[in-house]
Amino acid sequence: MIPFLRRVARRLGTIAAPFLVFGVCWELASGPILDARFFPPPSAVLSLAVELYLEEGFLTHVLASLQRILLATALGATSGVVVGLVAGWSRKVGWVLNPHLALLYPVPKVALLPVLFVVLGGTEMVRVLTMSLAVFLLVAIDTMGGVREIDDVHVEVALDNGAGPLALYREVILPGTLPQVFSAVSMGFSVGFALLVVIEMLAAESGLGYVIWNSWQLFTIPRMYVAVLTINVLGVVFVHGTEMLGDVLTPWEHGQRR
Amino acid sequence: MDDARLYQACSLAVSLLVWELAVGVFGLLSPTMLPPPSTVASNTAALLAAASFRAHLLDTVYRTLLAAVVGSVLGTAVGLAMGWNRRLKSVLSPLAAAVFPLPTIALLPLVILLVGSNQRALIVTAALGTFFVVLWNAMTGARGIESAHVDVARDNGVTSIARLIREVLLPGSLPLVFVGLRLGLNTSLLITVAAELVAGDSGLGYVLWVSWMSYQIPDLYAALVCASALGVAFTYGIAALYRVAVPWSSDVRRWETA
Amino acid sequence: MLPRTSITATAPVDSGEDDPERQSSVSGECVSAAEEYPESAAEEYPESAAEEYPESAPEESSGSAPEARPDTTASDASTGQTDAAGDRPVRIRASGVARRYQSDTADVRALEDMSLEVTDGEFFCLLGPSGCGKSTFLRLLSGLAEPDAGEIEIHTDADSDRPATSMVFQNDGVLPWKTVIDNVAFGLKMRGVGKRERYEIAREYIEKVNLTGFEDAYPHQLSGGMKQRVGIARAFANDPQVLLLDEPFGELDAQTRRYLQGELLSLWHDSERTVVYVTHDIEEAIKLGDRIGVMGTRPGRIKTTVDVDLARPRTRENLDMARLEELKTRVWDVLSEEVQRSIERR
Repeated sequence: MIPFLRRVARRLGTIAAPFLVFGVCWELASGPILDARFFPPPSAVLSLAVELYLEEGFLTHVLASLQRILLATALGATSGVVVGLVAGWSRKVGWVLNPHLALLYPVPKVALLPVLFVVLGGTEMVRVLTMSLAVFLLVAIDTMGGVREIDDVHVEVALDNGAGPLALYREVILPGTLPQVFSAVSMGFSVGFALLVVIEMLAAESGLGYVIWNSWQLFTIPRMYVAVLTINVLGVVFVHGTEMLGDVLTPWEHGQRR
Repeated sequence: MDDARLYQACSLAVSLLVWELAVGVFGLLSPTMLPPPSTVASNTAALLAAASFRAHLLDTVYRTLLAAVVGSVLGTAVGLAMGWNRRLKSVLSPLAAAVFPLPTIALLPLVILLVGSNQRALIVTAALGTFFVVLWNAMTGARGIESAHVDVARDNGVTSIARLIREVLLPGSLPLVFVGLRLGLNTSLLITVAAELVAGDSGLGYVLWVSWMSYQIPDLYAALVCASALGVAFTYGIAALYRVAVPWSSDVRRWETA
Repeated sequence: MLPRTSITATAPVDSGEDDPERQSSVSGECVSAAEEYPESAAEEYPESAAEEYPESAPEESSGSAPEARPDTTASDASTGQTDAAGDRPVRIRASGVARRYQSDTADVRALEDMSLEVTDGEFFCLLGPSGCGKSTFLRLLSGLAEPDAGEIEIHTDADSDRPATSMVFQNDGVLPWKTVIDNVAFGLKMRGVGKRERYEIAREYIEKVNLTGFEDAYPHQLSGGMKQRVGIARAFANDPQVLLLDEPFGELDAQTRRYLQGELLSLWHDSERTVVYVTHDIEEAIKLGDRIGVMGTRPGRIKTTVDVDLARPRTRENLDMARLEELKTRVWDVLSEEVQRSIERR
């Protein structure tokens, strides 16, 4: 028990140390070397963060952003997995869908934003839809690739053991693509956050992106830092959290990737 | 194979035809908001003939390429160094992992404050985003370069570091560099367009924003088409280049289909 | 008597009766299996063969019948005591089986006019150089692919829900996302056997292949030999009427291979099951098989059948070494020509 705790502590230490060093350097440099107006010391940012987090106004913005990103990712990931599984397995569906996906995939999704707003109107649904479209494309393409990469032998094993189409999906295709799905959803979160910020900067009256934009225009730089920091923390939680969840749920992958 | 091509071409053609008919002939959707593909094409061609629109396009291309080159080169160098040097990695990788999920566009106001000029801020922001994405990719990929190949080279009399780099490490890391380039170009394009949308005074993103605000539908679609074409060209151009430069790679086929 | 399950095909299978997607993908796999095959075993075969039979082969071959090599001699020479066809029913009958596939460059005839009979309880080895279509034939037996022409019959026992065949794959035949026990119980699960019962059966076979204690391990935690044991345990747990093995030990080191061969033989002996075993290793075929079907390449077909009249158990003390060498020589005579041809073609 004790050695285990010690190992955990050491691991946390090696992860935290670079941040501590970085933070201390910044703290010391802010003022003498860096312009404190643009680079407020971390201590000031953190104390402001505590203050803002206790305020209802700021929390509403955090919740608005959270709601958008979660809704968009849930929508995009679910539809992406379904479409990816079907298009990966059935060659003909793949032929029909692939050119569309391949053409849409490299499109910078922010460029779609104004067009969708013009065509569908600037509603909350359109904001979420734009984000979920980006997530969908990523997840669908990666899932499709995952299905294609499934070892033929594993399909044969299932067929030889009497698996029907449904069992084949449940026992082979789904678990076989699960690792790709998780890494795609993780990537989807990071693309989703990027779009979230742009959308909120441009076309929303709430959310952390709006706070960043607003703080810049009001020149309240520390508040902008708190918003950036909050987005960063949320991003870390969702992007890396999805990866970790994937690692936990696909225990057979351990050691294979390394 | 030809069968697949035919299917894919047909499926795209059918989609365009449905769009064309739905808007242009049957009037199911408003042609002012969602013009049929033929109108979009002719409008885009007309705008491309105009020097002012071409200037915007070239601005975006210039920014994207510059940011991609700077970000990719730095990102690959630091990423490879982190992949090969344990100590460097243990110090920098927690920082990189923490920054990776942060949408760079959130830093744009800050960069504008620091750099002063908008024009330069756009490029710096895009380069920054590219840097982190490429760095992450290069770090995880550096391990893929087989130490066995280094052993083979040593055994065959390669003694100098320079020769080792030329004979093994450079060709060995080429596939990685190409993935980084593709990733870098697309990230750079995305951030550039986003940054232009948010704070540009020229470029495709700027055109998107202006035509959105003033409901200039032809310009809006032309900008979207051009931005998409850039994304498609980068993605498949790099894939084509990859096939020429790395003919020995076993995932050449995967690049073709991806 | 025994009712028959027969797989017959006289026309190409493109008709796609039941499920077109699945159909096409299954035959697609067959192609890829056959394509990748030459690579995986290509270098290995001639080397190991040459090492194992250094000088003796040519000398002895001149001693036994040199001219009358093809088709008849071997089976004539050794039809004596072990020809069981008389008193045991035929379990597998293949006649005039053909199978082709489309490669990138040409229309390859993987099998043509392939005919053989395997009797009940027999351990039959299919031996041949790489790319001769022996794995393809096994897939036809298992129903994973269907013949373009000809007929395959597998006689199944009446009133039995035992599967007709179960396959042990060459490698990677375990599902990486399932634990050992779930892999072994997989076929039972697919047939709707309840969890408690299938785990009970699975445990029994896990014990028989000496994997007790690894029930909850994932395949990536196992060595290559252990993975193959999982595959064997699954095939036996399925309790098929015919067991198909596709070079199950081909990628293992020599010691592990020898050990697992012994394990397989004792499992087979206990269960009295019909076995079709594909290999490219002459010694393995002789040590394991009651009869060896030696195959020729493109188009693949049986060239000769050799009865292995070595007494069982074929332990080191028990083995008639002189007879073993004799059989090796005879088989090598037939095979060397084919190996030569298949190498020249490359």
